[in-house]
Amino acid sequence: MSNIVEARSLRKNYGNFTALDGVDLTIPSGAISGLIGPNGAGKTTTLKALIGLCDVDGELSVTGRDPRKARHKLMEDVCFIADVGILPKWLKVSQLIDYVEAVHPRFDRKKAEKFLSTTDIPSNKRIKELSKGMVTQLHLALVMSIEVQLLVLDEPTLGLDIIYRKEFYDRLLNDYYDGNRTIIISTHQVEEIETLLSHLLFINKGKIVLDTLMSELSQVYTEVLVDADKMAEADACGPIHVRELLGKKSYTFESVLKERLEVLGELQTPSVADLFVAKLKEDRHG
Amino acid sequence: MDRFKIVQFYALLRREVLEHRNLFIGAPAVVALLILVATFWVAMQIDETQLAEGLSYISVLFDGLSPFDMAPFFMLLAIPFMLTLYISSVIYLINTLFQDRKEMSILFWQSMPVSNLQTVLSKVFTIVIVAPIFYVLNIFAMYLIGMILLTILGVSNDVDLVGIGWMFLAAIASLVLIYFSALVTSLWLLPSIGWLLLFSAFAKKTPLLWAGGVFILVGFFEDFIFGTQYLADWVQSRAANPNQYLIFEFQSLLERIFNYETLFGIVVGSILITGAVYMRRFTD
Amino acid sequence: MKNIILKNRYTLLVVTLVVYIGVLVAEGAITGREVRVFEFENPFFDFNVNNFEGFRENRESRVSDDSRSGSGEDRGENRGENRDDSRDEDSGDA
Repeated sequence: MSNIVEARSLRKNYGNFTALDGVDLTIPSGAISGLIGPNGAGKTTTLKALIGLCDVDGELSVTGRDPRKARHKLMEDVCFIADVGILPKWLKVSQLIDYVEAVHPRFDRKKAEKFLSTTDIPSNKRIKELSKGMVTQLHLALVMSIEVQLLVLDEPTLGLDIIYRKEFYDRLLNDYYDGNRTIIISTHQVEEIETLLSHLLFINKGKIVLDTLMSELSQVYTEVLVDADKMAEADACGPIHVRELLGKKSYTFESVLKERLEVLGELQTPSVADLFVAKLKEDRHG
Repeated sequence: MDRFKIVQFYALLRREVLEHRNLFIGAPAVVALLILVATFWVAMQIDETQLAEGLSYISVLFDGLSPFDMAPFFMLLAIPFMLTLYISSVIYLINTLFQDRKEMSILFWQSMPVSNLQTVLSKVFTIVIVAPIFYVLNIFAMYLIGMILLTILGVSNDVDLVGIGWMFLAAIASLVLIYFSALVTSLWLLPSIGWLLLFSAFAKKTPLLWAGGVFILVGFFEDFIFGTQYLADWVQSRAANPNQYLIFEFQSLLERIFNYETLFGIVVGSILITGAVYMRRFTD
Repeated sequence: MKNIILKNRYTLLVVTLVVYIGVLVAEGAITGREVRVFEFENPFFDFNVNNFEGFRENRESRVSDDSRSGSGEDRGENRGENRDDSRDEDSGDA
């Protein structure tokens, strides 16, 4: 599988603040990739760098192009939804569709209208008159109607209620994803997208702390619920994270042979959320 | 240039007009309305004989003369529109690259396959070519309503409005003069357009203050380093005589565009516009 | 070089302004620039309401010298005097 995104030592400073501190990442074509990190970790900066909306130092290639050189060419193959409502508020819905149809060579107006007909969005209203959920629906309808290789979603469901959030991801998976396209989603609400993902990236303090395929997760990471009498043994195996759970302790291990761990208790693959906490704490303690 | 690029550029221009419809359509409409109301308010104050005399006098004045020769008469009516266009242009230019960064919609515009060059050029085109079209259309509507009201006034006062048709044709011909006056003025002031766009793309806050402040600073530096005041002279040349913004004779049109000062202004303006294009990459 | 100019908005602004003022100063030195105001004549500012016959004559004599003008309209109803009939052949090609 080839990589649609390749980045080496991306750096970005805002004054004294280091937003990206040598980010290395690769995203395989056809993946649904989750970029997960706490607030201020560098998620938005990374995603903006990928689509040429933010100048960074380092090597960067997206769909074989350098986003810093020809953003407008790149945007024929890439779509983007940001964490805040970025659709121009003064435009009417119909005018927005007219605009995208005129400027984007791969936009399919019929598709967009079909998507919109399944929502309550009125085409003669201005965007500022729509609710946040509707604006997101509208933006999703637009990008789902554009035939691109890569879709970049920066906290797309931030501030939406559970119904809109669920519908958003359902649509994305059922109506858009076809196995060939690549989707990158950044979020800090891990649980919601865990089942969608095929590739996982954790970012913290401007650095990638985890870059793995979901299919490889279970081979590398193991979680064991350990009784009090075996805790010393478990500690000796070098866990990356330990947390208390109903009088027992849950240990998370990275790259430790399963045979060594089996004696401690029942083996599980940690959930993405637990792994996220484990990796972040590990990162904090060095 | 392929067809798709033209469609794209048209969409960019359309976007500008939609976003700034108040400046390009609303403002001249208000001016037209004010002029109409003021004119007819004055007409109502005059007693009937004087009004009839005045009407026939104006009508005869135009009778049988070439509309193109009489068109410049209407240029005086264009002055309030030119002033409005001038102020609207400053408001537009200083805000246009600033506003979308402020409200973050720049992330949407930039997520479309449209280059910064196309975007900034669409802004320049809007001011130089497109905005004057809407002003002229507004003035046309004003003339049309004015003529109808004038005819009604004439008929109801038993005045023989013999030259009213000629007058209307002269008014229409003046629209061409007005349009080219606006266009030539924009080319003449292209350095100012570039300057405003540059600071509209640059400033994170109060772009007008930046544009004005840095202008004074640059003039000061020029004097300090080179001991010259070319910047000040340049601005004085371009701002001093309001007469130079209105074209009264069709013959002077080419002379207005193809003279050294205007062409040099276009070159210098292009430097600043290029700066604005590159500045557009800083989206925050 | 390009990286330095485009490093941030401030470097870009300074470079743009330096080029701008550089061209202006160079051109000013070469051409000996001083304040030059364009004076375009406007015959209509001389118009006197009390002498409009004189104005008409003035316009007409100018018009008859000038083959460019004319409207090509049917002027059967017009009652203007001493008009140059050659204008009837013109067709408003100004």
